[in-house]
Amino acid sequence: MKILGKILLWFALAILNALLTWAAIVLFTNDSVELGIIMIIIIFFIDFAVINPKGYPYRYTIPALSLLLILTVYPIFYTLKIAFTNYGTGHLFTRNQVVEQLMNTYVTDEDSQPYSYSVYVHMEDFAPTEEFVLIFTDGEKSFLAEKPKIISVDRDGNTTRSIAEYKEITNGNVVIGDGQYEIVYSIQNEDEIMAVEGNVNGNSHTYQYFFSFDDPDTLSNQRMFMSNIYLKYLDSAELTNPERSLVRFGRVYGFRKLVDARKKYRIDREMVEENGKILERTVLINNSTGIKLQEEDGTFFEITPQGQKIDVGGYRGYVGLRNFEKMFTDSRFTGPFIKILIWTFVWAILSVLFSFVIGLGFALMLNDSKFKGRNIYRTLLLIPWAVPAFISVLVWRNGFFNETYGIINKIILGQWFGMDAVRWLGDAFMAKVSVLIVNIWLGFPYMMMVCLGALQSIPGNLYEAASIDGATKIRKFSSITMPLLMTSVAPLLIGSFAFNFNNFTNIYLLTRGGPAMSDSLTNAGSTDILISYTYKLAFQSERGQDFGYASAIALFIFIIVAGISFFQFKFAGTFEEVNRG
Amino acid sequence: MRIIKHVLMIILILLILFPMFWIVATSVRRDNAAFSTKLFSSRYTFQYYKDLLLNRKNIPQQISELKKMINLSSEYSQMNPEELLNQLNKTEAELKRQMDLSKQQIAKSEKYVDEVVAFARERTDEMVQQFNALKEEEKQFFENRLQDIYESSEQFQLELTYEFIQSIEQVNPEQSRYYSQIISRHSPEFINAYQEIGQSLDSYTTFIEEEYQSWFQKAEGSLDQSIKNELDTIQSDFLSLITPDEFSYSKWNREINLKGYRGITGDLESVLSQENFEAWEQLTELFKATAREIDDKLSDYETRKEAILNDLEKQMAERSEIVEEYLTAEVERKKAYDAIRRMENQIEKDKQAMMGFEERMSLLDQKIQVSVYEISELKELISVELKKANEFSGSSRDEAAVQGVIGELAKIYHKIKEMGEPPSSGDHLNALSQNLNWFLTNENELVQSSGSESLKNAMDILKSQTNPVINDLEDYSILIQSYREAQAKIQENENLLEEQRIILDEKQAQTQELMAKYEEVMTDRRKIDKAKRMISLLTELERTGDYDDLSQYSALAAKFVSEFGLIDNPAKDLLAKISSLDKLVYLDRNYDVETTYLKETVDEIERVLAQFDEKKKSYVNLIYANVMIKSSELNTIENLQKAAYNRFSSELNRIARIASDLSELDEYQEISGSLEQIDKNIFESLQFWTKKPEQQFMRWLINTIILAVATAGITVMICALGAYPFSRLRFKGRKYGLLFLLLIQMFPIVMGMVALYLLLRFIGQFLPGFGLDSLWGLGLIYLGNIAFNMWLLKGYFDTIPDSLEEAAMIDGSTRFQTFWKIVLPLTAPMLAVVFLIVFMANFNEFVLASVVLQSPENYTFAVGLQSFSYGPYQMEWGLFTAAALIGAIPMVILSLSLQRYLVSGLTSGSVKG
Repeated sequence: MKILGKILLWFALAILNALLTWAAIVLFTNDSVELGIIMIIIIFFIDFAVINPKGYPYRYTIPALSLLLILTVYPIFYTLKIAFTNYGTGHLFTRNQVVEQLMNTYVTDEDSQPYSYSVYVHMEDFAPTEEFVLIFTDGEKSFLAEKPKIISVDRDGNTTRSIAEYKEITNGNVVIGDGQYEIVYSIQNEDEIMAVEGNVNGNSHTYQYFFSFDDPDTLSNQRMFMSNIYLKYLDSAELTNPERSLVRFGRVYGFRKLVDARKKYRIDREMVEENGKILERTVLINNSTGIKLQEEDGTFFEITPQGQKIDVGGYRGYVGLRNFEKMFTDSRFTGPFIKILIWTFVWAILSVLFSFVIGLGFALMLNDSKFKGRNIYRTLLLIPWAVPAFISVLVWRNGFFNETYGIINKIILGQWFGMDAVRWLGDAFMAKVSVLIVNIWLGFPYMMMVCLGALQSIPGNLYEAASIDGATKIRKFSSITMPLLMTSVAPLLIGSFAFNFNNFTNIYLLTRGGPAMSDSLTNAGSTDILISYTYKLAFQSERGQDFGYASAIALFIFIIVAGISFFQFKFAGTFEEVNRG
Repeated sequence: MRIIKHVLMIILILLILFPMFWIVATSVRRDNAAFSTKLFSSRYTFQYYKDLLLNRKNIPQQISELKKMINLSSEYSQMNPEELLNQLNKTEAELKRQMDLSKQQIAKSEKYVDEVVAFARERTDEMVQQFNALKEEEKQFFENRLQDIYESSEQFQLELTYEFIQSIEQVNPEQSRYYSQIISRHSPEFINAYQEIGQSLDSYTTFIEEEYQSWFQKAEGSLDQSIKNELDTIQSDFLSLITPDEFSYSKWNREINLKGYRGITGDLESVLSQENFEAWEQLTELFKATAREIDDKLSDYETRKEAILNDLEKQMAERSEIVEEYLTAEVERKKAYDAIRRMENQIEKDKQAMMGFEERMSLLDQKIQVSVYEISELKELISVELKKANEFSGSSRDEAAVQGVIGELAKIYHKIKEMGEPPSSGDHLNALSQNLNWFLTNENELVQSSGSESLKNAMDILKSQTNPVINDLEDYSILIQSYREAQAKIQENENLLEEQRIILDEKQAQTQELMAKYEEVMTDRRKIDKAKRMISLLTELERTGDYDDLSQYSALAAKFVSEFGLIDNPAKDLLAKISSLDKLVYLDRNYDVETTYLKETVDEIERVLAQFDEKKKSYVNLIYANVMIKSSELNTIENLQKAAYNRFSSELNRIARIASDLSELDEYQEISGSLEQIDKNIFESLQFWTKKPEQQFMRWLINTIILAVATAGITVMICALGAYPFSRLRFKGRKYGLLFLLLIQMFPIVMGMVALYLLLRFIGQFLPGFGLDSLWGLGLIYLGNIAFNMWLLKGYFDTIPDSLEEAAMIDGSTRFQTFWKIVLPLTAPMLAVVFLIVFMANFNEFVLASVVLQSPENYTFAVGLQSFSYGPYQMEWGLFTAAALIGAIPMVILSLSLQRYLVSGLTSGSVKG
């Protein structure tokens, strides 16, 4: 029985190993090295914990550790990594992907004579199949191209590249690779091609005249041609001939004509010296001008003869401290960033301060054992805190602060006092007041509870002693209550500060960070705090997403919050708990 | 002291909890709170909760389900024919049931409506009386306003006086008093005349009456009844012709009446005594004389009136002359101004033409320059030749040829002289003429030397040069001509312009002067128009007064108020009352119409549905034979329903609103119950017809609960497992592990949202179920939040004594068995707390959910509720607050019961603070 269990365990372990290794390999091949490394660490950790008897204590932590590594450590690391890149709109792909894209761009010779073409399709049971050949002519010579082979498709299944060879028709015959094609001309008209007899590796097909853009009689076939043939095989096809230029459907004529085309860029290799080492790297060269594309900040630039730089494509790349420079030295970004940073502190400090003062006030009122019904009052006062913040914030936003319909403007100010409407969420200052009001409303009950707990823990005999010494109430409060209160409450105030520093929900749901700052390049708003700014930079992309900059700010927030937490732990003695263990 | 504390506490709590009250109150309000001007409403309903939780399909949805079935779309595509038929039957039945219910619901109101209508009828009489009483006051008010206007405008006084004088004899006594009041201010002499004539007519009347009565008393005995009657008629007719109140007096009428006297004289002669008859004869004579006198007086009055009216007309004419004069002056000023503009334009044009001429002249001049150059060359040549020729003089001379050339040159020369000095750029022309002059002065010598061959050649060349010059000069002279003409014209026009300017200045001064007067007159006119309108409205108001006119009156009065300002309070109150009564009348008139319409619509839909029912089987057969079906019956039903809904939503809702508005007024206290019932029944009936916004609230709630429970369960298990060795076992790296946990929980999961988003996107490429926009993916992210809870549980494990486990291990159980069977059960309360905390945290989580989830069917409660506060739901406060409350209540209960754990410092970072 035990042996069976062992065997099962080993079997499961083997399968797990196989799965995770496969995952790691997939990750490595998908440019996700970090996650792959984490996978390998997890594999080793699991194997060690399970195989080695000494690893017994670690077995318990396997699930927790795996989750922590993937969902907490990796994001921290990834954030750190992205913060030094330009990842974002315009820089979404890797360098190789961008190079591939650029390699698939063409310049068409707009001056050269376009080719008219006609398509010959193999019919089966009188229905067209997808087997076809293409014949095109520049008026003098005629050429035949086979059905292009699909090289690559994108995620939606659209063909992005297909290639085929074409040859000139001589004496009604064409040979392309293994395929032999014989042209069947019309008897009445020597120039009119009726059909093509094809023979590829012994399979013979008859291709019948199906569609030509220049022939109105075939208009009825156009839809079939577009959907079954053109979009799938021809739209991005490159028709090549070793002795002639490349032919494809260009931008000017669309599907109406074929044109001569050239690849816009070619790949070359270049030796670059970097950190004293000589490295070989690929460079792109413009075929028509022969000028090498410059690379700067993860962007390919084409240099025109006039010396202008033209952005032809960006890739995800390392940009060093650029994102941090943006924060602190680039005047277009620094202004809004500093404003947001200051407001974040003001917001967190004022929120804590007011909630604490109000909470303390209520706590002092309720901290009276003779005061009847104080438990009921306390419970009622807790309700704003007990309601999920997102619900109350939405209610405030929608029902109270709405400029036209909100009851503050419409009923309380409008009807009762006859005052003008206040732009609660539309005006920069009033929006700040609004978010603070809501946050204090949400936060003071917590402070009240904390203070109440702390007040009750202050021994009563201290007050008795003070009374005997003739101390006034004020004196008692300032000399006994406050100092003793602060020792136990201070860490919580710091914790509350840290919480509000990142209180995304309140800000975002109430104002969405708005109203927008007028002088900002990014979508910064007057009530944005750092975390909501990060969110907007990364996910609200009116002006493009900027994951790199967002991550840099997140990192900055982390440093601040870590500092605050360090103080908090110091105050609360959490580190001793670790050492005590 | 303590009581003050209690009161203070209660007030503060009421204030603080106000948003909560508001949520509760708004979620059960029947009207649309977003558009209401009241904070709370007494019209309550649980409809929003029903809609959110049951999401039952009502009539429009049932119809669209039927259509879906016929098209075999969405969930019906998998059904077989029997199932489909069953489903069709069920839906039809449900549709019918709901329509019936809506009909019944609205029918419940009938008795209440009767009650209300009875009340309204009763109330109307009361209102009419009140109204009539107040109307007088109001009229006074309006008349005072009129007076004000009258006093502010002289012109108006004139016009009004004129109008009133003309019509004073035709109006009733009351009005005539008002008229004379107005007239007396401006034309007291007329009032004098009017009063005089009135008085004298009065006195004549009295006189005639007295005379007649004294005769009648004497003669009465001998008169029979018919004659008495006849006499009475004649007498009163006669008197009526001269009473000042009814000024329909005319000579012609009077004569006819006197004929009446004469006519009856024959009859009287036979019955009366001699004495009395003579007295009668005297009386009629007296009447005749009096009538003549009255005639004189009246014609005198008419003359005076005529004179006064003429005078007034003259004064008014002065006024209109001012207008006339100003307008004429203005027209003239405009004319002068236009003339100046025209001239200026002309001058500008001429100047441009001149410039054109100048340009062309300079071109010509340059052209001439060439000729000048050549001619002067020739001149040099010829002068040299001339010196030489003098030596050969006497040989065969060709004088005629030379003279001919010279003649040509002379022509040109004279032409140039004739043309006069060119206005500009004439340098080359001058040079030309100087050169030519040389030839002319040396004519004789040239002629004498004409024998020289080379001279002759030169002269020939010269001759050939002259032709183009002549042509150019021709052009030149025309240009100069035109230029001069243009110049002259400009000069002339400029002089004229100067004159015109002076004229314009004069005219402008003139109009300026007239304008002030004109403005005054026009202001008056506007005032008059206003006042006249007021008078006409007043007359309209005069006429209204009974039930049917009430709404007309209120409209009229409202118009009056809007045009002429506020009226005094009692009148305003009355207006309000009338308009509310008017609403009741509206309800009375429209309720029956609308309910009948509803019933008819239901009947019609049922009829069409019956048709559909008959065809249903063949439809189903066709559908399963792959034939596309479009059921015209269903389309008809849908159209009927849409039309009905459009009408109900405006008309019935209006009635309901009227009912609810009125039910809140004090004056309708008696019937407020009935009104509320009407309102409620209409609302409930319309619920069956209202097109409701699509919402997936229940789905969001279930999503969230599943997600939160699953993640909380897994988190608790993993945390308990992971925290155990940190508490019980000693191993390498334990201390650093703890520090690692402590450090890692500082990094809020929210801050890694970019990384997590990209991670999920990456995972989604391989495991679509765990990618973006999936609940599992979101759940995976939530599992990352375990460091803190491990820390929490580790602390709790530490408090459980080791001895229990040691005892068990001595008894032979393994480490894992002790953990599973001893430690975990002992930790159960804390595990439950952690479970609930994680459950709440994930239930309330918004940021990551909003990043990850995109399609509405995957939303969690938080993201879904947020979508309720934007876009099409933004104003659906009932739905929004009901949803908020459904989510909030369990969380409030959980929070309050877990407050001990939530408030303690350790948990601050995880849930809220």
